Amino acid sequence: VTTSSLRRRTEAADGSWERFEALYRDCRRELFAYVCSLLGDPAAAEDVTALTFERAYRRRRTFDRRRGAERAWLFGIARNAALDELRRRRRLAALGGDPPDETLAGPEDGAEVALRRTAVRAALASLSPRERELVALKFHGGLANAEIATVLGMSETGVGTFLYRTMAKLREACDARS
Amino acid sequence: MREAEPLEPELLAALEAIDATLAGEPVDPDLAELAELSLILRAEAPVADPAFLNRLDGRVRARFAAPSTRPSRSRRVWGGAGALAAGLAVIVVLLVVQPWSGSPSVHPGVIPESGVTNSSAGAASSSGASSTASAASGTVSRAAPGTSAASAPAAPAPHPPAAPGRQLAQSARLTLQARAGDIDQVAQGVFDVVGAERGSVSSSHVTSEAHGASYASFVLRVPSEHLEAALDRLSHLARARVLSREDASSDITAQIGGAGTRLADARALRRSLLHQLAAADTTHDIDRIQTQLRRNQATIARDEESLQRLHGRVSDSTIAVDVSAPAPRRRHHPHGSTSSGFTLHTALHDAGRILLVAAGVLLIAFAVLIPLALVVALIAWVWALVLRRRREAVLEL
Repeated sequence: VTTSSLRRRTEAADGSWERFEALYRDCRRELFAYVCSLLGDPAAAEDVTALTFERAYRRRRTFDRRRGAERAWLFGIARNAALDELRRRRRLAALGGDPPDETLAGPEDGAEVALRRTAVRAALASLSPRERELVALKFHGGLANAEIATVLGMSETGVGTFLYRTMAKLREACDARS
Repeated sequence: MREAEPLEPELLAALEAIDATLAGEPVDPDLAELAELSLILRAEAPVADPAFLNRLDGRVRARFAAPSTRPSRSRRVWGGAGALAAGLAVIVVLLVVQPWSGSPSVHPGVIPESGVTNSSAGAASSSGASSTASAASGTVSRAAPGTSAASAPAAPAPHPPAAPGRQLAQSARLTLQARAGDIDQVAQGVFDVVGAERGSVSSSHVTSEAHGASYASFVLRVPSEHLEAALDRLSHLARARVLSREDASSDITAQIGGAGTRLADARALRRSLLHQLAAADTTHDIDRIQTQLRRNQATIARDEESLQRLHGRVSDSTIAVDVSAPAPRRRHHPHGSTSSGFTLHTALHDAGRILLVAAGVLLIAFAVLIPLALVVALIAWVWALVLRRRREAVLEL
């Protein structure tokens, strides 16, 4: 009986592996999108995403449901890892701050949609880092406001207000640009 | 999480519209622009490379079987802190528990191997032999090195050589150790030595209990020329070993000379008074002289006694011998049983002792570890706070 097989039996007994695997399948793309938005570097985002899942796997038995949903717990780990990476590099990637890539607008997109997306990217660049992170959590990570509140350590009401103001700011920036 | 506060209707409607849009549900036409912005934002999400996702799938399937061999920084820090705390706790527990061990463990009836000094002069050391001596008068103390019972040869204690014409008073104190059951036999050996060396026993006290505290003490007087021989024989008594030996000598030449001079003066005065008495012709003179003669006679008697005592101190030496048995520390069972065999009572007694000691050790360990844990928890909390602030600060840059 190897250590690995013993570990698998234990995981099968307590169901921790199934829960982790389901969480992984459910969140891996969104988690990468959030981390990549935060770091602005796909290669670094891949490393941080892998590190996040590895940490989550090793800490899966310490997860306390009373402290929030599993997704919020996972994104909290990712956020810490991403911010540590940013601290290490001592620079903040400009979320959505890259020069607008016109090629992202597919040929099937209409001209109006392409223009709209370009305007949104430019508006994103005008947001503060915290506002960009909120957008990343909401629209790239796909988290509910309650989950975002858990990740950011805010109240759900505060997150709602923050999101509303951020969206208003984005709309104004888009309108001004158009 | 903080208590939810009611949101304004407009704000609430916008948030619901965002969630509905992301869920693919229709929204109020008034909020169509917000819905469109939400969709664009979601479409702007970076897409993971399929190759990366395949690699990650493989690692997950393998359950991260090959983790990095190098532990993370935080794990190393906490591991080091934990090891340090554990080490400190062990050291403190050992320091606290150490005094409990008390005197060296002595099995009943077994004489400890290490030498123990029991010198009234307090000059002996516990290991090896130490000595101090002066030529005319002084004290020589020695502690016997660890030797086996009944075969402990005490090194001869050198008395300072007396210069010609000098009068020395010599004494010695010998501390022996023997088994409790051998005290009587050792005491008899002491008496035999005294008889063989033509000495006498000034006082003796022997307390012998089979399993209690046994003790014997003697004050012996032996001719000074036999002192060394007597000490040598006492040091080699069967079933006893020497713990310490103290020799003392004092030059009393001046005291003897002074006493002799005083006696000679008193005798000269007596002769003079006798002459005066023979020549006296009045009753008053005769009475006065007779009174002086009585005082003089008393003085002569005192001086003679003093001189005789001083000569006795020179001719005879005093030896104080103490014989002790190590007190039994264990195997004192209920009902007065002292059997060393294994019985239910013995087992229960020993088990109780073990539990008591274990409880004491645990209590001390908790007394040390709980404050330590509180300090560690405080440090961890502060560290987490600092780390969180540092992380948040990145977003302010």
